[in-house]
Amino acid sequence: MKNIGKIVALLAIPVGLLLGKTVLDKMAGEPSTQSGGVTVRPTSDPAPLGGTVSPELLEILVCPEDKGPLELVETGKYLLNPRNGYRYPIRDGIPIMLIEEGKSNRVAG
Amino acid sequence: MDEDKQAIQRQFGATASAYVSSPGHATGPDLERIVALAGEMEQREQALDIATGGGHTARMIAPLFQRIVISDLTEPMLRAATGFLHQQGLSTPNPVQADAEQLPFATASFDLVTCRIAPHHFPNPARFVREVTRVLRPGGRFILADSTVPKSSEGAEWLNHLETCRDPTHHRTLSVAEWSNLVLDSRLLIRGHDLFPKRHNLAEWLARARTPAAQQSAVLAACTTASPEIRKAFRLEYDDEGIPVAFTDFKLLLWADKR
Repeated sequence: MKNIGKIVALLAIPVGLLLGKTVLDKMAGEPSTQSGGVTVRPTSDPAPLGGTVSPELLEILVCPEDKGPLELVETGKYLLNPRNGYRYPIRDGIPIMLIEEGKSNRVAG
Repeated sequence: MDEDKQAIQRQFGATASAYVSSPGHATGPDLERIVALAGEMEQREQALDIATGGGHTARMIAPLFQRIVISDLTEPMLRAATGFLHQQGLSTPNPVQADAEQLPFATASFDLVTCRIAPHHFPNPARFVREVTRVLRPGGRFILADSTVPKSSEGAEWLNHLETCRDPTHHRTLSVAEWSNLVLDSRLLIRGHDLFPKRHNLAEWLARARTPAAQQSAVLAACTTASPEIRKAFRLEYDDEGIPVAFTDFKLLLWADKR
């Protein structure tokens, strides 16, 4: 039992996690818009829709389901697949290109 | 999204920053080899790093390419990686939240696709390799780095058991032969592969995944009761009191080109 106690005590020192927390705290302290257009923010806040996505990236993004082209709509908040109505949100500069996200934000027509 | 993938998002959403600061993810001989293999390519316009995690592979290959795109299934992981890459002076890491098995990129978009220390989480690695092949341009290169299991079924089962106890989102670690077959099935040309021994300090390894106490005990029990063959194959290390402290597995680095 002594040995088990010892190893559990060892495992209770998550050095990596502590280091990581410092990085996160830094991010939380000063949310700043970087040149890439992505704001670094505490992960608990829901990221706002929109943000900058580079033209080069927009050029190659397709619908993960039918692999066809997308249109940037609603002043850069969504990428729309006009064939099936799926809308992929752009949250704070990050396109959320998961099929279920596109489906759940689907527009009729 | 299936439950497996939601579990991955929870696991890596909660532990994202630990992967940014993890020395085993930030450095390593496999990472150096990836840089060399990427650097020898003639056309280096656009690269994609799938399941970028802490962003370490992306950081190393970005200077070699005109543009880099990073993808991950998990939004907090992607934000942690993006923050890290900004700190490292990379202004446009082009983050995209995406499933490695359903990539949202046009066919033939990339000269290089990398994926390091992640595919053991993928439920359908064959589908992942097919998607990688699709988004590569002809002549483009795929570099895969992941843990492997030995040929022996006992060794394969032992390591997969250990990994699943540590992190239930672990799917399966494949052998070199299994990876080679998947890559060949996708009609990529295998150019070569390397194996790198990788020592895992158990305390750090478990802390990074925030393994619950009961599951930590299961990992330690698997090490304590390991057969002589397993002890030898995984170079299991114990302290003076017989407590397991480390094991060593092998990382596979495999590179293949699209015809």
